[in-house]
Amino acid sequence: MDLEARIAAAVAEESSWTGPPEGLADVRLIDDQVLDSQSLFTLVTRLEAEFGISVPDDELLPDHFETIATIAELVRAKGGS
Amino acid sequence: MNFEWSQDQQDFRESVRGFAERLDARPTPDGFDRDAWSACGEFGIQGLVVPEEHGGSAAGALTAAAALEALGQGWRNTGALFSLNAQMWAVQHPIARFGSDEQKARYLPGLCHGTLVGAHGASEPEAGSDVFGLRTTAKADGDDWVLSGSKTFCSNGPVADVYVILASTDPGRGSFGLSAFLVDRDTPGLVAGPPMLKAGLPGSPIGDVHLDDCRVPGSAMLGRKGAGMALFTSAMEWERSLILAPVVGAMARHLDQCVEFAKERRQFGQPIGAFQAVAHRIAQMRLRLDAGRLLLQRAAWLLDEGRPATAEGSMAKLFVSEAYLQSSLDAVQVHGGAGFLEDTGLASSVADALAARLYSGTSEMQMNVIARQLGL
Repeated sequence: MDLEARIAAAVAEESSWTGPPEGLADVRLIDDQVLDSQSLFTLVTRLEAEFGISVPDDELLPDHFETIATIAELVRAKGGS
Repeated sequence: MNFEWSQDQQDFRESVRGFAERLDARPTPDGFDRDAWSACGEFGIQGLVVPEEHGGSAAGALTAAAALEALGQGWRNTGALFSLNAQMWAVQHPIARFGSDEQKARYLPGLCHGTLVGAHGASEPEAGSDVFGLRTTAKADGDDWVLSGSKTFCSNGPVADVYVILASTDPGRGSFGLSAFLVDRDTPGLVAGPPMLKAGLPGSPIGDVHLDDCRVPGSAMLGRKGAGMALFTSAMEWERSLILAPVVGAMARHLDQCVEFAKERRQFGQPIGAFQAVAHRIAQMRLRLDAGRLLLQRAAWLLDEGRPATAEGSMAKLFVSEAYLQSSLDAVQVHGGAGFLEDTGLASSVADALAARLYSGTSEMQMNVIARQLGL
């Protein structure tokens, strides 16, 4: 499973999303209210554990969580795999 | 692992303790001691973790924890201690972390040196624990922003010179649409309410702040648009880790008072400390003190290491606040009737401890944070 697919699976499980993870590819996670503050914190905890990265609180910026692709960029930038 | 303080840290802690004992113990009648505030600034308390180029000493979170503990041990103005921490972690930290060079230069030296007082406006009448549900808005108007809404339980609000105001710049994006603004007290449209009458923390004025079409320039935005949640959570990570450092100092002072009293006070022909009912109560106080101090210092160490301390900060906040309440009750009980007298400072600490379980997130919210990190 590639990075985007693993992230989509995590988002699907930790958010209000009820469809299959593949359906998240083109979804605006914030604008479409898939993520809120509570699910974001849960998601970040999971990303940190699953990809061995650290996302400090001051990086909880909307830009990083707009789409599956932007989250993947964040994870890659932090050396996650 | 090394549990020893460096000689420099020990010396500094002793100097803070000496400074604290020279301060007036009691809050001023009007509730806020500006002279003490300035003295703390001149000594270097507010600037403990602020970079040197902005007026601080960049001593680090762990050293700050030790210094604030010493301050709390030597100074009984619990309200002022709370006010200092409210500014340090929820005003100075966000400015230092998220502010522009201009904002840092404009505000941090005054905040560090005690010539300015800062307040953080996040909580609202309908947004307490659910702080991201706040309703204050900031609407763009040309290059300006126009803020409207009401804040409540704003620590230092009645006396602050500058406010960090959390507002929604994009209500449709929920917590991701929050932004922060630096608003000066004299900005038209900002009205700071009078101090609330509280059961504890005398010396720390807390009140409402109303924003009625309060216009600020674009340069007043603190951090980027939409960075409000990141700013708030970062501030809370530091605040929850460190805000109770003075309380650890107070608990140490109470322990010393209890040990001394238990040795001197005689009943039934012997010191009351010879009775296990008393001695065990004091032993439990010692246990809570050490456990709380270690939790707090671990959180501070993580902050210094640049590692996440969200859950660890919440653990420190949760444990120390609950321990403070139980140990304050125990201290009163050990002293008997004398514990109810104002001079001992013990009964009033019960009310302060109740507040400690509420501010910076209730004990229940701290447990939510801890559980969340466990994947629950």
